[in-house]
Amino acid sequence: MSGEPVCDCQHEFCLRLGCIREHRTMVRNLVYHILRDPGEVDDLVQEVFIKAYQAMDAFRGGSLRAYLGRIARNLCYDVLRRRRSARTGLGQVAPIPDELPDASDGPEDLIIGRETALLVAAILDELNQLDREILLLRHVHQFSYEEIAAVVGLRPGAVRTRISRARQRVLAELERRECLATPHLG
Amino acid sequence: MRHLTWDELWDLLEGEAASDRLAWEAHLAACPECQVRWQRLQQAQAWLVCALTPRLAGDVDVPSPRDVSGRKDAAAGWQHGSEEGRQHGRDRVRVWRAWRVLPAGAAASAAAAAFIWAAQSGLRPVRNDAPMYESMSAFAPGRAATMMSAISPAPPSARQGVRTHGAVAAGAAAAAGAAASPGAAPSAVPSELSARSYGVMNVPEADGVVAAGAAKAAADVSRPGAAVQAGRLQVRAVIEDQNARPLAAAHVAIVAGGTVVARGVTDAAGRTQVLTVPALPADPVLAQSFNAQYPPLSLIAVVAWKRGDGAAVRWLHTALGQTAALTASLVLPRAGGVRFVDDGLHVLYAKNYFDWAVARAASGSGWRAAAGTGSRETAGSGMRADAALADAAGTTLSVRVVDESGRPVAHASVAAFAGGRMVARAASDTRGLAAIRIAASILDPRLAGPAWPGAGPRTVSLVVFKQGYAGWMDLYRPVTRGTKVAVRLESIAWRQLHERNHADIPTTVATGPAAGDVAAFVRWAERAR
Repeated sequence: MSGEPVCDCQHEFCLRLGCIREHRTMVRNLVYHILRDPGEVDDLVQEVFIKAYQAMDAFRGGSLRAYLGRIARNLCYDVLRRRRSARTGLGQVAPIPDELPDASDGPEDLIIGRETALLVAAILDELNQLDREILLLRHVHQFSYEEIAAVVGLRPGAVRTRISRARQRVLAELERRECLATPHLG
Repeated sequence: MRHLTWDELWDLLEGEAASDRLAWEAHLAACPECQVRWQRLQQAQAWLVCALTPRLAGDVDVPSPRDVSGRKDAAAGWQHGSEEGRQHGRDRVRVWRAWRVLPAGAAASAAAAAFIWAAQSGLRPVRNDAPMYESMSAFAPGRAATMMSAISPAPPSARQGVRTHGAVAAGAAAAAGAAASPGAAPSAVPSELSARSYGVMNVPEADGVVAAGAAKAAADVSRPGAAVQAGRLQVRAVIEDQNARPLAAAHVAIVAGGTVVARGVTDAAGRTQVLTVPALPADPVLAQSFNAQYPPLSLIAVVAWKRGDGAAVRWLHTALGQTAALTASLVLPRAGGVRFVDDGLHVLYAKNYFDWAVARAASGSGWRAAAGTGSRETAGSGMRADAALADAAGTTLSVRVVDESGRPVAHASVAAFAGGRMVARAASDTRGLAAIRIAASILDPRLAGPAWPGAGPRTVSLVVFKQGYAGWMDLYRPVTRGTKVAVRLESIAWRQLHERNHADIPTTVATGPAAGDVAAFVRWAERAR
């Protein structure tokens, strides 16, 4: 260890492992996709980081973001178990379409992908929770198969298989509903 | 040769499978069937990323280890009955003492204490940061009129503008003089930093500069074939603190085209006057990528900061060629914090771009790129697989952050924006280095504009902040593989010696193709390709 501070915190955790605050977007997205409750996301995210700080001695090296993802996932499932109604959160429609401007406002609906956004969200909702988590980590946060495996507790090979199947299902649904246009190459 | 499997195409898109990559790329370049699947896969990827990226409220504060260790120390002190530990805990986070000393069973008391702690320490969920995207009058004139009357009839600030490069030389000379005098701490502006990259835009000047910009934009619009359009944007910023209280005397700057085009200060109600951008600079890539049916958009950033509080940056897009009135709501984080918020229009971009690209490809017509001084016909149409492949693995941007003396600045937050959202964020290390990876999965239609055969060049916006330093912003940073960016992050203390009144205003630069300068962008793109 160089002794130089790695972040402003000058805390042992940051000095040893790097500042985990860089990974908050990933943690936030993961928490959201498991809980599906925007009102609880920020609480849980903060709890994740508090847990990470407090349990830093348990970190045995490797990918810090996978470590955080694992903590986040465990905390979320604790919350879901406490609720005893995990399924109620899974059936909700993803909020992305709700954030789009209202197409009834005017001709701007020409450039709004509201229907497709709804459709993709619906297709993702049809996947099981684990597949959604894996797709999120892979496609949005570019986790390696090994990192995803560390987060979800599977072997990398199994992760790869699940990703492949989930992608195929999404692709097939998009093609079946003609959401993917066929380009004509020149 | 057999066709590529979907898994192989996914691996190719994600930059996996280095050993087979060359063979796959060669096959893809030659196989029309695989090219079609490749493009479908890219579309699916774009939609997946859009759908998997929740539009949550603004940024969330993460407790610093110091806060948490305070909690732990306080807890340990009380648990072990150590006076030293107790005192340590009291010193570090006094408010946690009450929280920890309470018996675990006293749930109600604990909740109250936790609330107090949260209110004082700022370790609390950020309130719902409602989208600022209030109205885009280009598409809804009636609603725009309502919005316009709703904000204020007050005239825009008479004093707004930018500092020109001449001021940089003056600043450098002043710095050199100061360095020569006994006891002068700040050093001169390093000679390798050009005036353009220095680019402090922090002294209000006469409106002539802005007027000149407006005239230039108007000239651009009138030029045959030019894709740049003039527009007029009015923005009122509403600034609040973490507790949703209006924040008075907060500074607000609107950055567009690499310069500060409007500035204001909030009143007691946390509201600025209506800030007017007389000539809205076009995003040069967007201007090339959109047609009359899909109007081009322009990217601006609303930056707010206040000494003693953090800073916040809100990115928004608006239509060109029309008047728009927007209200930008920003919540400043705690001191030292930076919050980035975007308007989420990347979803619109994705759909827009693909619709447009597919329509162009289906029509079989080539794209005519207006370069200002003439036009050229680009062979082919739509995207070209080989060029798209070049960006398949994403791009890494190396950022080096140095202070006014050229010394590395550690722990600076570096954020990159593309496609209307923050796509990557990193912190500089002790050498001042930060690596920003722009992933292939992040779709930015500007990266693959049909104006450019293939993937074309990509541009990102970069923002760098650190407590005690004036922020740094670059709205148009061309990115090619291996791009290195030198960021000069000036300390506020140093700035105060030279810019006494506006020491903490962010530095803004426009390193890439100047906003609205399509011809320059065309030249740059051809060199980059």
